[in-house]
Amino acid sequence: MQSIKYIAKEWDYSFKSMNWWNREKVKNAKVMVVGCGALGNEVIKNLVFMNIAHIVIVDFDEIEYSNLSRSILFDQTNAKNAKRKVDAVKEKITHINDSVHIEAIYADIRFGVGLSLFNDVDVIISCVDNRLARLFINKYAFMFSTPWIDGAIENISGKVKVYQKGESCYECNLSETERQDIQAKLSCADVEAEVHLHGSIPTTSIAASIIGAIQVQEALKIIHGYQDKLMSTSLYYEGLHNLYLNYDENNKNMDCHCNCKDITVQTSGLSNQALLIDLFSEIDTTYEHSNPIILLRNPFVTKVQLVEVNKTVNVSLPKYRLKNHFEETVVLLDHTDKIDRQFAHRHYSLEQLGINDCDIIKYIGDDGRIKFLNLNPKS
Amino acid sequence: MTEEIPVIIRVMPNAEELEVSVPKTATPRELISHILDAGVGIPKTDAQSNQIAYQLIPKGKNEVLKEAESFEQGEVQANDVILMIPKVIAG
Repeated sequence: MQSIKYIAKEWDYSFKSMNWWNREKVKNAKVMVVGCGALGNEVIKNLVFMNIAHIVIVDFDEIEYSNLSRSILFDQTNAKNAKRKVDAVKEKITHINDSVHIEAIYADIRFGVGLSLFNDVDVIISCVDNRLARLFINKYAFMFSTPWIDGAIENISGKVKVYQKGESCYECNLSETERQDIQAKLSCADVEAEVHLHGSIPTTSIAASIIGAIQVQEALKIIHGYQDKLMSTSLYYEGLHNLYLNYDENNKNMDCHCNCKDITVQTSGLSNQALLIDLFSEIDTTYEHSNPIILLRNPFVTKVQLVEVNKTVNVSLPKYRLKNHFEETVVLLDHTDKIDRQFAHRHYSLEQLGINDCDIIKYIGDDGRIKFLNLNPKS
Repeated sequence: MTEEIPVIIRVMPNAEELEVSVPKTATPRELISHILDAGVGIPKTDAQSNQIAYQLIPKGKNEVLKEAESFEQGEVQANDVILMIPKVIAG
């Protein structure tokens, strides 16, 4: 009797017969997925099945029981332990396909991620749940001409849109209602309170599967260089009435930052573990700007008022970290987003000032022009 | 007197149909606001209190009507079916 042997084939063995598939391109691809909710789960699952070599995942949330009905990469133990979503995803993915390298970043995309990531990846897939995060992704993806693919779901409907610099822009297509909503959220800038969103928007694994699959399909086209085959319109899907609607919404606003030219980024020998004074020295010696002004993306706060107890407190923290230190609502009394050589906290590390690993620092040089400096990863 | 165009607004995702007559000079922004204020059960906010934004897309045309341009400029015709689609944001 002939024995049957199990032969381990390569993960992408069957893909080789697909004429559009290019193993080398997939092997060298790097994709960032922002948001690990229902949509993020589906997107990451598909990227891993398609054997994308390097995936960066970003999320700042923990798993709740309510997530389990639509998240293939989470389980009940994760929910009981309120495990971080990024950690659960990384663990599960490693069991599925250990040839994929997952970089998990537990952070809010708007505050805790080094901007060089936007330059380092081939494509960004947005699975976030709010307009502010989308606006942020749009801004920094376009700064480096990196395409991004937005997905959103509700109930059994959803939407996909591919954004590319010069072709389509999220910000240019915001309605007045959306701008008002964004403005209302930003106008609370002086009050740093944790925003607890009550209630959750009903979503299903059905919509997440469909929209997430299309997002990954478009990402694969970008990775393969099939720009001419990308979706040029928005897709709205509604399952109850079998509606698949492709429609054009490529408004262009000439004042939008999406019209900016690509930036040139200088290289730094420092990481965010270096001190601020070292950064000033480097800018002086390497780039010959003796009095630069560093423009902080995250304001640095030195004095706050605790609203409930009506007490003033001196602090030295980036604004986005205040919520880790104070449970009550605080009002900013003293903060800055511009620092020069005379800054009182010049012996702080860049990390203490709220500058992230692999961040890109923006500064005004002696010639009055804005420069960008790319930090090294911390060792 | 401003001329009006009779159209059918199909509000997604539930596909409720509203028969309305819109002045040719009115804009999609004004009509959406009017519909939301009319008390016909179209939600203004989602479960997380985010304001819901809507877009109007004439069926078969597949192009969003610009919110500040009039229906006349948008070449809306009598008896057009216009889809009113929420801009979903959850992930």
